[in-house]
Amino acid sequence: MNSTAILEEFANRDYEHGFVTDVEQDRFPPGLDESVIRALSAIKKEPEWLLEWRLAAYRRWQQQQEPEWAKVDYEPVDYQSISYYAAPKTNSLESLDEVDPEILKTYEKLGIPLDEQKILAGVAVDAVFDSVSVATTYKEKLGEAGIIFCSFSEAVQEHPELIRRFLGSVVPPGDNFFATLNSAVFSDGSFVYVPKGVRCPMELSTYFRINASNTGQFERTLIVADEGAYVSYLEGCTAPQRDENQLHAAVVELVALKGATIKYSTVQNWYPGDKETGAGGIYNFVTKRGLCEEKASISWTQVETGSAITWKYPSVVLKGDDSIGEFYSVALTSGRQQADTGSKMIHIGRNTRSTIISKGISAGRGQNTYRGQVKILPKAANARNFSQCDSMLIGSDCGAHTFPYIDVRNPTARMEHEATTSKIGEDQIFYCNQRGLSTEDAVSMIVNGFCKEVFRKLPMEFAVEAQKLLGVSLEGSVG
Amino acid sequence: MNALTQNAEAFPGSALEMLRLHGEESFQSLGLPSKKQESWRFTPLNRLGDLDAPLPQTGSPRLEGLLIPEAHRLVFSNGRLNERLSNIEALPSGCRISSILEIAQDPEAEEIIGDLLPPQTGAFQALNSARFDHGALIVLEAGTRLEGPIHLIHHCDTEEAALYPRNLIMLKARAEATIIEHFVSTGPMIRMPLAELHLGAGADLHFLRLQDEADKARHLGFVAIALERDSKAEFLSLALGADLFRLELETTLRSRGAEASLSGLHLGRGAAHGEHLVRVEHQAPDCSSHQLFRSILSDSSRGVFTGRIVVAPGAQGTDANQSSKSLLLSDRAVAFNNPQLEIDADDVRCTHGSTVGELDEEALFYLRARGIGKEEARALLMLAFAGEVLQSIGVEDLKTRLEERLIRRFHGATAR
Repeated sequence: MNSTAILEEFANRDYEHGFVTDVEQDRFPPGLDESVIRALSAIKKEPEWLLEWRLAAYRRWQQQQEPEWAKVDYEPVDYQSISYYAAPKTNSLESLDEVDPEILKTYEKLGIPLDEQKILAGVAVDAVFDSVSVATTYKEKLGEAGIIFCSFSEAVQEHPELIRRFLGSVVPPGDNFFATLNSAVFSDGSFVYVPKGVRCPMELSTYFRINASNTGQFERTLIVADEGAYVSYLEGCTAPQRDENQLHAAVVELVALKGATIKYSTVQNWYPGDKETGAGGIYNFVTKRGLCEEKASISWTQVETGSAITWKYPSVVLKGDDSIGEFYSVALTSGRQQADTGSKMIHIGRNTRSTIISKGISAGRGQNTYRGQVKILPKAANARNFSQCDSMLIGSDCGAHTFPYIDVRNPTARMEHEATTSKIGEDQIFYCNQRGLSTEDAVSMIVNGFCKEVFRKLPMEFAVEAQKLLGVSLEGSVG
Repeated sequence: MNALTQNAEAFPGSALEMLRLHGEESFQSLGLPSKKQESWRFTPLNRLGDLDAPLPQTGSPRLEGLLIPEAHRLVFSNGRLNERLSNIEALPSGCRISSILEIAQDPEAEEIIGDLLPPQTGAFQALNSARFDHGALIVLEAGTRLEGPIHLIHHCDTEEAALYPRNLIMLKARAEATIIEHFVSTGPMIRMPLAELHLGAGADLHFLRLQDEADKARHLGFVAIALERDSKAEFLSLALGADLFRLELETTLRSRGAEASLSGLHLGRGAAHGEHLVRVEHQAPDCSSHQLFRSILSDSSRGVFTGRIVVAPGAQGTDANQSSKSLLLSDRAVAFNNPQLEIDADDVRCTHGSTVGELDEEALFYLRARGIGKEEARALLMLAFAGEVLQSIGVEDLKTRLEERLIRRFHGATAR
């Protein structure tokens, strides 16, 4: 079998997570106005200030324009045809046993059976099913260390002082079109607080899944690591296969106080839309940003293989002296996928350091764009940045684009940016074939080698999953 | 507006008239660019000043130190061709140099004027199309090899002026030439030059663009180069002066085997803003392009480099690279580097690299440990930094003069 045939076979493989779970839903009729936000806030029994905060964001959003600068092409979203709240009917869960077995089955199909996980890797999971967090495992064990890990709505009830202090402190409510929308209508998400000097004993994890059709998912994640604390957080996403596009506009805020460390890893595998026509698929318009105080460090690692459109720029504001920001990314576009993704590093403090490693892989008719910014402000003496953006093209119909913005305002800063574009050479494949490797294995090996620097940064379980995902998404597109 | 209409009337029925009318229309419909437009977000357009300043009095240019003895020379003084100072007598047959206003005598040139930078591409391209009133038309017939460089001097010695020069240069198959375009001014005038460079199959062009305007002058330039099969262009932009400088350089590799080397050096001082905006488009397979841009920024000057490599679908075998480096000599200097790749073919090799920083302390220490004074050592390192760009200047005499000048300037720039 020649390599093209192998590639085609792989490319034609179906989206494995494209099943729909049949659960009774509580949902709002489509449409957005102030009454929807009031109703949403009422269901969640939110305090007055939060309702006001949402309404202010909503009014702001009405004044804002949807950004058009990204190199992506999509049908405009009709924000009035989206239902802004969908929840499984069963509510108020005390233990895992009360979770709808259908939902648990969904997670099993996704490969994260909750009860198994308890025993297995020691990963605590906060699972978000459509908009409501259905179960949080390991809560007690974390509680002993003083760590708060719960759904966002729960945190609003139980820890209003923390929410009020940190919500919107990194991504202000009017930040950008999608973040503002999220601020107005966010339904749920995860909240993590790690107290001073505590090293979180296990990796925390959320698994998102969009199930209902015509719904948007607007989750909001807030992670606060107090002075000297450490936490590693994993996020994984899938969605069922549908013909219409679905919107996912999340906001993630990370706050690393003095000397704290936050590692945030994402494996994103939303439904990418039909391979040929591009119909359906998730619009992934996400705002992720972290704030580093003195000597703090934040690291974003992402493996993006899904979504029809990805619009995502995880950023770090290096406010405190000696703080560190890192971004490691693998973005794969095949079929008709389009991704415009990258990172922003804003150096404000002295001796701040940042690293950006971005690996883009385009196959089929995918369009992959790296867009990033490194900004070194006048006070950021001795700031250091290293950026590397590599692209790999597989097939002649895809595109790979790189748009870094480099803005240096301090002479003691050292800034380096490198980018390369290449393809898997026939000579490389030939070399591997000669040594007894099939073309398929050779491609997989070369791609994995290309992404190695990023995979190394992922926690073990995730790294394995990411490699598999990449294999599945790629196979069939190498020629 | 009246002046423009008069201009158009001066060339009734000609291609120029059409171009002017088209330019005027486009300028009216496009309006001035704003910071909201991606390609103008860094440019301080508020410094533009009066675009409608009338044509100044005839100047009395002083060209000492500017002349290149062996060159074929056209001198434009305050926007007018000065025939007394020009010298194009020694041209071989097969090479024609004339004022752009005489384009009607060359139907082939008349046919293609405005093709590479049509008025609708941008407000200032439109403005130039509507208003240009001086510049050179250079045509080299197939196989013509020109000995000695062509030297175009644009001199301006008045305070207020808005000048719109335009060149059209055609090198037909296998023609070879070296062209130096030199902009000199003494006051805060604004100059908006536009040049279209056509290279036929196998042609070879060296082009040095020397922007040596007064520190208060404003200079917005537009250059487009189109390369046919196996042709080769070496383009170098030196930006030494002006308070507001911007050069848009558009290069299109149209046919197999073409090669473009583009380089630029920008020296900023005071509160000057300097910007190189480069776009290289690979439209055909097996072409190569190289970009090498450097900026040295002192005081509170700003340097911008935006370089985009576009590889069109089907342009397999493309080899494109780009390197941009900025040297910051002061706490207040700012460098923006935007290297961009837009690639729609898979069998390509594209790289870009970009760095920003101050002078290497270790290199400085090395030199000082060998008995070289601090200021001298810094100037040497700066010259080395600039040298990568300067080395491609083929006219030795001019290169030496420029190097000497830069050394003097670097000595001055070291005082922080």
